[in-house]
Amino acid sequence: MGGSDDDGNGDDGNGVGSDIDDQDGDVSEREIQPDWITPSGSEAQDLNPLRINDTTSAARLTPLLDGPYGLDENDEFYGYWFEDYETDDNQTWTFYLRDNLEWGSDYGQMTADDWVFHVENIAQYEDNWAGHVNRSNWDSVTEVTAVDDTTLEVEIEAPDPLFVRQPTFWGTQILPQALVEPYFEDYLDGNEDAGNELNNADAVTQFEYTGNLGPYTFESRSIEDRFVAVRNDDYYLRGENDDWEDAPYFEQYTINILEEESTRLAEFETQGLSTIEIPADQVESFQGDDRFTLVSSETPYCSVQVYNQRANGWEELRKPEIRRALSMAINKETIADDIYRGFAEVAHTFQPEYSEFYDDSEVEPVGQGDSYDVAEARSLLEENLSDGYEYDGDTLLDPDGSPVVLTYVYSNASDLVEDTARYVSSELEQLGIEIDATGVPFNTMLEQYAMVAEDGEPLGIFNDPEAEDPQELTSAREWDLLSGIGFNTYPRSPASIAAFWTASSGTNFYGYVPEEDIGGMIEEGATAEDSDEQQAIFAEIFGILSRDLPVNFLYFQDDIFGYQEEVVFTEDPSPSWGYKSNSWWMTDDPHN
Amino acid sequence: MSMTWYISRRVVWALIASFIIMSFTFGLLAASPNPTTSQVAFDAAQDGADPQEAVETYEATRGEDRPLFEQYTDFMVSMYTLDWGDSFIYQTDVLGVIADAWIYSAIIVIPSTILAVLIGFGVGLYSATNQYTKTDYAATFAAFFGISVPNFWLAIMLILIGGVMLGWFPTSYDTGVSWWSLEHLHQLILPLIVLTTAAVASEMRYARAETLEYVNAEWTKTARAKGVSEWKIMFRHIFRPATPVLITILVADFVGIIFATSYVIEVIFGIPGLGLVSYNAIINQDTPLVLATTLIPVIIAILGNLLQDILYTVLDPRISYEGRN
Repeated sequence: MGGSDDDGNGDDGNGVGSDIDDQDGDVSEREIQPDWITPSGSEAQDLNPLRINDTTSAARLTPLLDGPYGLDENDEFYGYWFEDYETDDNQTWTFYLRDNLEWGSDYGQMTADDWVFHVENIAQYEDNWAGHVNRSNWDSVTEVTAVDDTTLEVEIEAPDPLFVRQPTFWGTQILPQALVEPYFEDYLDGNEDAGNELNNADAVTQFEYTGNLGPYTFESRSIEDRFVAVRNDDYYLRGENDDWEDAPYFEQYTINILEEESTRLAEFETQGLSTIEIPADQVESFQGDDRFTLVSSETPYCSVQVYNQRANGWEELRKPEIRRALSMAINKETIADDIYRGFAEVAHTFQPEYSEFYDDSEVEPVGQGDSYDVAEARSLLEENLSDGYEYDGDTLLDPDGSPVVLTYVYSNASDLVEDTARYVSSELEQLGIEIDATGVPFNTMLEQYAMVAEDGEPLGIFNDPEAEDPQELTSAREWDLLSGIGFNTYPRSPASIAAFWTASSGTNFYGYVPEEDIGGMIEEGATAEDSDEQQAIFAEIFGILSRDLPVNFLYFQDDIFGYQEEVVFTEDPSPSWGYKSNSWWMTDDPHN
Repeated sequence: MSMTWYISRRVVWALIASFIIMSFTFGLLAASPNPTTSQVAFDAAQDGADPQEAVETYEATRGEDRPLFEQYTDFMVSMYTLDWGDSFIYQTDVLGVIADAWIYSAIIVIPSTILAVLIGFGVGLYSATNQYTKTDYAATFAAFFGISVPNFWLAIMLILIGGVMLGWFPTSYDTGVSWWSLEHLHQLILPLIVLTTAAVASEMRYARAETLEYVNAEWTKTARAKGVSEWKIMFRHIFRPATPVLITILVADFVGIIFATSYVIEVIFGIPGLGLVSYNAIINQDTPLVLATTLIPVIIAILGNLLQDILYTVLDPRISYEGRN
């Protein structure tokens, strides 16, 4: 099995994260400091937990509402509102709520009934009357029962050993039944706008319901300026153990909106912020500076270069050998080490190496070490291109005798993505292929190049599951290669990759038609009760993908976080980094 | 024609003009794709959900699932009855958003405009009356530098040099600082430098060009021959006749500063003003807020034009409102 290079102290070879072990903070010396200040590049889109599905908005809610549980560095259950869980058959799951959870205002104790109401009347109600954005998370749930006030029984449609890692519960924040019920009844009485009225209710926009359910309590919100929460005097988790002894350790939690990246970095450098996320090309400015601690953590997001196998792409891309040849001519190590300054891991399949479902022996690398070979790539092209294609010197000609020109579309959202696109273009041109590269805004890339179009108009979907042949579909504009997009590889619950790698998958805008029954294998893996068997099935799938290369799996970009040196952490860097962030503290106040 | 009748007619025209502009803006918004929609669809597809259903839910929460004409009439009625509704992205009433934001724009735009007028007109006038001297060249160089240097670049450089390297100024604007304090003034210095640099340069060039026309005018020569002091010549015989044109330019510049230059300043320094709110409303297709923030510059421009016309009649005796008939 593959494994992470991470040795647990976060030193990834860049000197980033290595100083966490040197922290001299002593639990008994903890003091409560005045401020934790974090930046945000934009305003929240939503404040209603039922409608939030972006990280910017979620960042406002998480200091106020912990959620049921998190996943620790080993992807194990870490209880917040839910103290524990158990299952005998992986199909019926019982969750135990703590008995000291209190909603705000007059909404009383959070009980299992709140969850049953949420599932039955919001998440799974036939009409999406409340505008709930994550209803699909609940598709596998067939029944929820309140056994008593603090015991919730959940039955799912088929046994799933990884259910606890699915976003069904761990990513879910709900509203109290007592708050929502009047609006629901209003909806049943014919008021179709009841969901929007709930959304705009003071109780929701002023977070009056959050009670003791998070470490902080909402204080104020100044539009395009800042979001302020203050220490919650009744926080339910306080005293749980040493880490949470007197948590949280800050009187005030502030989100400061600074749209411009250079301003955020300057503000962090002058100690106006406690933490910041640092782009890879800016890390050098902070590395080796004693005033800051840098932590990098691996992510599950795989950046890919997409090969268009649909009717409006280069038809040669439908052959795995051609896709392999192009992938072989791009050195992924150069991208990871030089463009991303070492803050990215080379990818070879749709799973990071730290995943327990990744198996070295199954995966066939390409574009790294010996498998990066331009001459070999050219030979592979010559052997597998259709009749009529030939090289004239160093130029590849099509059957009409014209040079082969591929249209390459990439997102111009960041300098690093643009640099990668320029590098990829230059590598492919070594194969005698002319690249016509265009940078476009991300949403334009999705709408004009990824979505299915009819008569040149995007239809709002990325694949038509009913289509007899997905390779007959087209987008609004022609393209052959596309990059600047990252896919979630779901290393915790890989059954979710069904959304990507079957002919009818929802995201299959590349027209991939696998030769093997990947859909069936995913289903088999998802319901395998034996974990070894499950790992073997998914390892095989990831092996197939590494050979088939429906897209060129390029790299997994790391997240890089900077902190003022006074910050003391209570967890080791991991892909789950931050799951205990509300128990972190500071040895001194750097801000005043 | 009385002044009251003249102003009434202009106000009616203002209403018609604003109606046309608002309708046009609504049409543009309706025709533009919303960047969030495709993101919502892709997120849903990636989660294994139905992207079309996700988009329908998103549009329903914004009232965009209704017929376009219904949306249009609703918005126009709400605009003219001053019931501007709630912003989609801020989930609060539009008037409240604008009420909170305008003051932050005002504290940089008003001082900057005053400084730009005083410095720009002053130096332009001096430059015109001292043409082809070293000081004229220096002023011309400064003007071209101010016009040429990109505001966002200058702002970032000032933050890095004045804020990070020297530590003399804050690197961003802090709304928590007391309004009437030296600390507040301190944190306004960098934004004001950037904003004023841009404005002063254009005012200076206009002022120089306009006043040059009158430097060698017959009445100026006559006044000089009669022994009138240079200060009086400069202000009464050169600057005053140039003023109507300069005021025209000033109105256009003022609107430009609020909704173009100040946006850059507000983004870079983190000032939650009207430019920033307006821009984000457009990016997020927050229709009620876009229309409201569009209406404000329209009103300013129309009122500015009205004021300009009235000032014309006061400043230039050759023009009268009767003559406009």
